[in-house]
Amino acid sequence: MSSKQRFKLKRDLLLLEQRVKSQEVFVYNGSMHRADATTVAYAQTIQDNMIIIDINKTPCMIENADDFRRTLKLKHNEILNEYNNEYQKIIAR
Amino acid sequence: MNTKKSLQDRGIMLFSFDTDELQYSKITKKCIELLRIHCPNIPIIVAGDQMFESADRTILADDPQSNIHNLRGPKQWKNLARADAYDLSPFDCTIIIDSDYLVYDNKIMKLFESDQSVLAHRSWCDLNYTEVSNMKMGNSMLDMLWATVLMFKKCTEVEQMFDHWQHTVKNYQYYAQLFGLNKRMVRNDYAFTIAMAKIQNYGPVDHAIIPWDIITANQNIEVKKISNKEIVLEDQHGEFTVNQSIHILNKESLLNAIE
Repeated sequence: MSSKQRFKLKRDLLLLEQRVKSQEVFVYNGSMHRADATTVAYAQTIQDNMIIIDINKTPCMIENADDFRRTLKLKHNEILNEYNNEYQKIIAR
Repeated sequence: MNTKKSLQDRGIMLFSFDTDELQYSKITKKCIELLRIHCPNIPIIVAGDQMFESADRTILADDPQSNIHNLRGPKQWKNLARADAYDLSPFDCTIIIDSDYLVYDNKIMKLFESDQSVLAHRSWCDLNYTEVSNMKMGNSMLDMLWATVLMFKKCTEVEQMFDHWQHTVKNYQYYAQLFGLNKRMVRNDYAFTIAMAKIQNYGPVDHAIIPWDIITANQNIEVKKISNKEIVLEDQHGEFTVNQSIHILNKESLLNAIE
């Protein structure tokens, strides 16, 4: 692989990471959260009417923990599927 | 859908002033075209020196205080009306975007749903060096906030922030001396950063940060081709295609690609 091809691969992967980084942000009752592995794991500990800190370091109340978890997991899975599809396309080039 | 209500509720605002060197209006028209495709049903207002039929409304404004863009030689730059956005915007919640920020996805729509009163980018993704970083403002320890994409809501604190912004632009020489900035070019990003720092008593502004990076094609990257789906760029490493929202700094090549 030439240095130009290596750079192109690096840049394409960076752009994919950027896409994921923006897509995994979701707004829940006015607060912003990231649908990443850490939040998915943390969400297992949340109960109804608990306060959590959002991306902007602002406290917010989660009234319905199950609904929050559902939204989070859906978003997380959707993003990982897209990440996998795009990743395979990039490395196959 | 109640159009009247949505016009008052939220919308996107652009600024467009042609100069002798560059027809920003052509870039603005392309920006509106992309916004219509990727962020449909959101009213778009342009404050500028001419009418834009593709916008929902144009606010004809006097030429703002003249400025100099001195990257690759001095050029006239009419970019200082941004500080008046609070007074000009008819929306309760406004996203101001630069015309050279080309929208290829709908991620800015998330900003409308946030409870924060101001949101702007702090980290940038430089496609030329494939790096993500924050930029320090002059010789200060303040991280620069980008005024390229800025969401604000109408409230007293935000009004005060815009007052500070206008004050900073008017007294730019003083602030340039204080923070070690280029005195010949008034940079909106710096004026906005200073205004935010002042309103927060130079404390943290983490609550006002858009949680993804602003993807930027710097001056070394040329625009080769532009469509409503993607943009083809070229630098010393070769050609590449981007299909997500991107800030183009090389305005001359952007204009050439649009024409």
